[in-house]
Amino acid sequence: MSKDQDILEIQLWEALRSGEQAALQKLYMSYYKNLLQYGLRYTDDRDTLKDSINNTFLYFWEKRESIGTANHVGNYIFKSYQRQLVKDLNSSNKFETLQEGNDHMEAVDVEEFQFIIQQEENTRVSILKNAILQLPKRQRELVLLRYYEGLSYDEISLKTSLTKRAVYNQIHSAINSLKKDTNLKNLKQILPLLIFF
Amino acid sequence: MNAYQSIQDFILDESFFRYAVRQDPSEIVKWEGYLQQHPEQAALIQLAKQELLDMQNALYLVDAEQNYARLIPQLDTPVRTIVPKKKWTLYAAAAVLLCLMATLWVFQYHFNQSQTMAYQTQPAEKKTIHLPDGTLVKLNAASKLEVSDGFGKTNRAVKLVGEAYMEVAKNKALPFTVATQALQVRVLGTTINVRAYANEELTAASLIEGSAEVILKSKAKSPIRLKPKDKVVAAVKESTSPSKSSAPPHSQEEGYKMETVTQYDAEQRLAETSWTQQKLVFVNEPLSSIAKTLERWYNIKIEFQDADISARKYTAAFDDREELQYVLESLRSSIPFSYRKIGPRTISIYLTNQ
Repeated sequence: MSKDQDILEIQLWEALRSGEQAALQKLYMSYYKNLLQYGLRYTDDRDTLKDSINNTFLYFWEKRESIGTANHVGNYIFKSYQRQLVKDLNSSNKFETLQEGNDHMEAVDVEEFQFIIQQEENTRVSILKNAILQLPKRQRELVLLRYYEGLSYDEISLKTSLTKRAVYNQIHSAINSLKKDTNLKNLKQILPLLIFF
Repeated sequence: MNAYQSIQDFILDESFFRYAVRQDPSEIVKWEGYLQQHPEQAALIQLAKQELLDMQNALYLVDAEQNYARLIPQLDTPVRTIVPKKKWTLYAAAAVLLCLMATLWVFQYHFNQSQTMAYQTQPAEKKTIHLPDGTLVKLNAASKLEVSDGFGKTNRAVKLVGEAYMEVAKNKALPFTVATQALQVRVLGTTINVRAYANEELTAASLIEGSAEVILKSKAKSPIRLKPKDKVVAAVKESTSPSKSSAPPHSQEEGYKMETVTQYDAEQRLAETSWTQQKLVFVNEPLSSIAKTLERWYNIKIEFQDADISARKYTAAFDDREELQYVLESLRSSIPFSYRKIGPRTISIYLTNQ
């Protein structure tokens, strides 16, 4: 893992230990995707996975005064999550065979986990995120099912008891409004702008 | 397979989603085949892929925020009990604090003119500032604007390191001055863009409208008057030839050049102020200078293996929310170069075939 990244993480960790909730949130946002993706290898039960993530960070917050300094913050977060996940999955009997040190839980390769501190509000992704939050509730739900959970139009139709055509049309118009709100639109305008000598 | 024409056609397609996001092996085979049959759509497919991946990340953020919101109420349970400290430490602390305050007061009393207010931006950050006199300032990335004490009352002086666009409120009694390392700009009411980064050799002041005067710090000479669309470009360091006056006016030997602002598109928008409209615009600019702007905007370091490349001039315009990789790919498609990541935030640019 790179030096800069380590330093940034350690700073956040120290801020968390001294009681800064903003630092907790930053670490949470940065690791959420990786933790969730990791959990999805073992279960499709997103609700349990999300609870485990929250339990892990709640533990950090409540124990912030007694937990130690961490030289490898990512490693520590990840190991804690793994323990929490085993506990939560076992208690919900969703995955009885899962045990710490079990073959099911492969060794953690933290190197593969990207730690991304969100640059404030200027990245494409944040703009897109805000645009998604602006969508009507129904459309937002359908977009999440389609592009986040990766369900097909048929599966969504079954789940929501809308016709497949209606699902498609709703998602189509959601994509259109996202395009309006973000630089999906700008991309097309910019291409002709690329004037080279 | 359907006829795919727009980005949306790809984005809405289930099979394309499985290819771009899930990287389903059978879909990869299928779409690579499609790409071979439709090479003209390569760019479109690349964009659609990028949009889908951005959307993934955006959706993760949406989900993360929603889930974090559930966590917040649980965080606020009071668990801490404060252990009372020994009394003498409290007294000592109070005494120290008192001394400190007294010292501060004495300092302020004697040097009260030195109190300044500073606005600062990080790399990849921009800020809009409303100064108390009604002036609007947009501060570009990695810049600092210091406002002196008494601003708006006894003076309107600011100090700038970096780049700022200013719509200066009219006030005849109090001229607005911008001081940079190389020059000072004095205006009554006007719109002006000043670029004075510490790591750049040239400082530029571009007048958009109104009138202004520029005084170069290196030469004690009469102020340069600016008309709208004038641009003064001054060297930050003392020019090497100190020869005097025989040179024609506005020549480089006087330590500055007069130029005109650059219109970069049909709508006559200006390259100088394009950053305030979320654009990255380079007009016939050496790669070395483009790199400095990219460094600030993407918060990275760019190193050149060959001085040769850094001197090449490029013209291009991008949306400033574009991915860095896209910007680099576009640049190198006109005059080729190679680049690779050599650190977490460091990119090396070198000659192709090396």
